[in-house]
Amino acid sequence: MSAAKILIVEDEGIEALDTQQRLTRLGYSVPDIAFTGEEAVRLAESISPDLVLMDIMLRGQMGGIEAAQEIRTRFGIPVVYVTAYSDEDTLARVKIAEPHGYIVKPYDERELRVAIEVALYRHEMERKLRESEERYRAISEQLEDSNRRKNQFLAILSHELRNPLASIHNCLSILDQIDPSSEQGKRAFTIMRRQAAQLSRLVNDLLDINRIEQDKIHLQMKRLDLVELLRQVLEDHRTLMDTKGVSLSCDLPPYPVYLEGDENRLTQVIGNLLHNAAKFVDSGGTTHIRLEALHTQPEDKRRATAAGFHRHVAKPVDLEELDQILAEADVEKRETGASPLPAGQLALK
Amino acid sequence: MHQGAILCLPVIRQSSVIGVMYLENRLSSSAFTEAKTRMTELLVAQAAISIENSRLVREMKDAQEQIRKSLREKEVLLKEIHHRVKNNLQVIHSMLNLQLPYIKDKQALAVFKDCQTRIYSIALIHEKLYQSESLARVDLAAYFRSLTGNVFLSYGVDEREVKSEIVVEDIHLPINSLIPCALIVNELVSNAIKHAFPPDRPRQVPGKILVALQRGSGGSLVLTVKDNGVGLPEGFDIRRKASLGLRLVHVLARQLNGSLSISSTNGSEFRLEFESRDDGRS
Repeated sequence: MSAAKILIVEDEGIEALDTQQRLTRLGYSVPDIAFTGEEAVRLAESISPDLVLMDIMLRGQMGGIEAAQEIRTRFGIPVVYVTAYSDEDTLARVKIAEPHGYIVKPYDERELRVAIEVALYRHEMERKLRESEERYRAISEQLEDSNRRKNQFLAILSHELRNPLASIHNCLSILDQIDPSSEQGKRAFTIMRRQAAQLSRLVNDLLDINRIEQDKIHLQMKRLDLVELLRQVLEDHRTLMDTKGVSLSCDLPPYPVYLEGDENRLTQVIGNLLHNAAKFVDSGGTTHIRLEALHTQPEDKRRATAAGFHRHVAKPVDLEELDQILAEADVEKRETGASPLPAGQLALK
Repeated sequence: MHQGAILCLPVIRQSSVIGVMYLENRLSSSAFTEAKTRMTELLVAQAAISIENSRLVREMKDAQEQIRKSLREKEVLLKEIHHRVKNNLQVIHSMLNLQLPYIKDKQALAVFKDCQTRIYSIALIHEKLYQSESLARVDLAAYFRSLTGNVFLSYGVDEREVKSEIVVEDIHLPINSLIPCALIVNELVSNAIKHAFPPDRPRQVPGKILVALQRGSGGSLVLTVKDNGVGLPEGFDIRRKASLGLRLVHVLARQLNGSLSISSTNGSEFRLEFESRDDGRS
């Protein structure tokens, strides 16, 4: 048993001395005695005891019950009541104040000890309960937050999925009315093909996110040249950038930059970033890609490179929207980065 | 044919009939004119008020008598209770007395005597209370004199060697403050007798113990116990390592919410300044 610190509140000095001596013999520490309710509140604050043993029939302005309630609410210290009365009236008053324990005088040391230990235990349990309640509240808030984010994401996603579907729908309506083999019909097929490709790309991305979240993504690591990879991806997207009127410039080192990585995934990451750029940079803007090798250390090839993407957004309004999507892209990257990919850590501006 | 007239009127007080006024005239059938009837009605109303008043006065007197009687009973009862408490304490005191010859250990004997004087000082309060007229007011000078006398007797002090002096102003103490004060005086006088005049240190002047209760500044009371003995030991601190007696003095002084000052020049002096609280609880 640890030496709990107890404050005695008792207006009969000699009784208080006796109780102090008995508590000390039981192994508790009793630093002080309060003779009035006011003094009890003051001492509870200054010596912060683990428990207050309170005679509820006190002389003076402030009664014991009132003092006990103030000590409980202000300092959260448990209070055990001591009284010579056990009549209905007193008990009713005591119940309202919800003491942690109640002893009727005269009491022996065993009763005193049991009442104190039960009160301390109850108080400790209440504290733990409060703590766990707080913890669960925090968790539930977190869950609500992530649920909200997920809903937001779903809303964006549905929008993204609906656009190509609408196009395909439109094309089908047109094809109902015209000869599919005509020039216009062929164009409709091309649009439909492109939109279907877009749809399957979105669905694939979605599946990837799902795999990442479930930790089921399998990376096929191999040694590759990032410069070569970037060059290919850029080539693939040049047409897209041209049609959007966004000029694409790059600054790649004249030597190969080798790293261990999954070729498909890296292509996907950079491709997604370029798609975003094509989507959100206004016509006439520029997307600049620079790759440079930092901290080149022969013994640690993995830390060989970092790539910086610069983009210029004309409308500041778009920035927020962009942040949102970039935040999602960031998560994706970090997850992928759990593989030996920190070399490809991408700095975004 | 019947000759004469009858007038019958109810006597009404607080909407209940408490009597009937009956008037009869055998000579004239027109004896009670309307005016006369109205006049009689007024007289009857006055009579009703008078009857009610005398009834109330009688009730009040009865009630007063009842209260006086019950107060007398309570007084007798209170006196009886004080008497019994005093007697019970006296019995405890006597039991300790009977036990005394069986105690061989000197220290145990001293502890026994301390307990006896403590019990006696409370018993004495109850004795003085049932002897007093109001049952609440104690003649403090007489009380302190008896108290000190008993302590002297108990510790076998010769009054020719150590004299006591009691100085008490006309002060009324509620029982709340009275018992702590009594116990404090008991402890301090006992303490002085035990330590202030050691037999191995002969004195030029006779020993003296002063007990005083006086009014201080601003309505406070000052209780002083002073002796001309050897004074307190060097570095004396009532809060630490004091005897039980002085610990009691310290805690009772705190209970009275008083400030205790202790000095040790030409003997020792304990001075307690406190507000006498009388909040009706006793």
